Amino acid sequence: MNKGTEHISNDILQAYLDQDLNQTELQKVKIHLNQCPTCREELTRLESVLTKLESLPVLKLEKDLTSSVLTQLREESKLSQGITWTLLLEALSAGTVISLLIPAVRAAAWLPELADTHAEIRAAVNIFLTQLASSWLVWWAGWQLNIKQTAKSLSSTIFFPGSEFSPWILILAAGGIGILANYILLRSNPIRSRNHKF
Amino acid sequence: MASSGEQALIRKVKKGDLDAYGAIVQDYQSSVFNVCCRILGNRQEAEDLTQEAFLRAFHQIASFDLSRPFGPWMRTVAANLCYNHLKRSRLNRVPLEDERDTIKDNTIYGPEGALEINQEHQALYRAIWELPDMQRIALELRHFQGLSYKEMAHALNLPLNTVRSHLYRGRQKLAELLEEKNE
Repeated sequence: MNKGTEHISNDILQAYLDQDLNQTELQKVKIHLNQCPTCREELTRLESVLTKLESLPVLKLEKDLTSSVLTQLREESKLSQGITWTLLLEALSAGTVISLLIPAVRAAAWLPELADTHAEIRAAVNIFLTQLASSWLVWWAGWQLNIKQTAKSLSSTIFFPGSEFSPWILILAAGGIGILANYILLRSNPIRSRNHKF
Repeated sequence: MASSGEQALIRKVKKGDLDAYGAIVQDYQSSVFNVCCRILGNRQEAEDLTQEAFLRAFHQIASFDLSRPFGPWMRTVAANLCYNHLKRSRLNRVPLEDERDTIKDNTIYGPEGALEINQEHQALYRAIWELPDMQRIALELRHFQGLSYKEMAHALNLPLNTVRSHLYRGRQKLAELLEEKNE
């Protein structure tokens, strides 16, 4: 656009329509529109489209979707609780097995003994096995389900449906078994300082 | 901002109360359906996507800011869902099948709808459905949902200038289509 001779570009005209111009541009457009019937006509044409859009009647929804939406959400919720149950039970079983396995392996220490290795290597093997087991557990849980969904489901679940039994009891039980197993382990085979000379 | 009654309902929904969500669905299903209809141009698809939008909104409700009105947020969720649906179906669509069934008949207006909606409005709906997908979505977000350019860019995950360009072209094209239909 220049003074009176060139028309306003379509982009500028639309930006004017959306009040998306700065003060200087706005003034220039206003001045031009006062002088140019062609641009005024183009503006009116675009404005009429917007007026028509505003007058568009709504289309009637022929059926109520509320019940089908709620049914689907209830089914998802049941599924989510099923997953939560499965996860908790599987995690509890896996946790128990690992809790029992680690002290057993440590107490027996048959594998390093066979190789006649030094105590520090034995400790390293044990640490490696522990880390491997916990990494496997984390990977497995993440693979089994959507962690976020389970966390959300757990946080909103105080009790399992139809009972007064809380999933948190299972979590606490799993933690308790882990602590107990470690206590037994530490009692029978206390950790030695890494700087301790054998 | 949502009304206090609505805010109370949404608070309940955030805690997982499905009955409260039922009341929300009841209130907004018609406007959400209209968003889907305007974007998709197909009644059955629009009903399916309306349901899906409410399911998605329920799962995303934790991110909803209670200080803002619920309606525009809900309808933007629906528009975004339609946008992704069109993107996916565009990839799978055979070009010759691109033309929407509903442009050929009046089923979109419902069994009695065609009688209630006058010729001028039917022509306007047809013109909207003839627009390229992105232009139609830009028009929906700007003119029916009142989103700013920035909000549109955020909702569609597109650069601001791209969104602006779709909107400008959409309005221009719509004006041309309406003129053609009037001739």
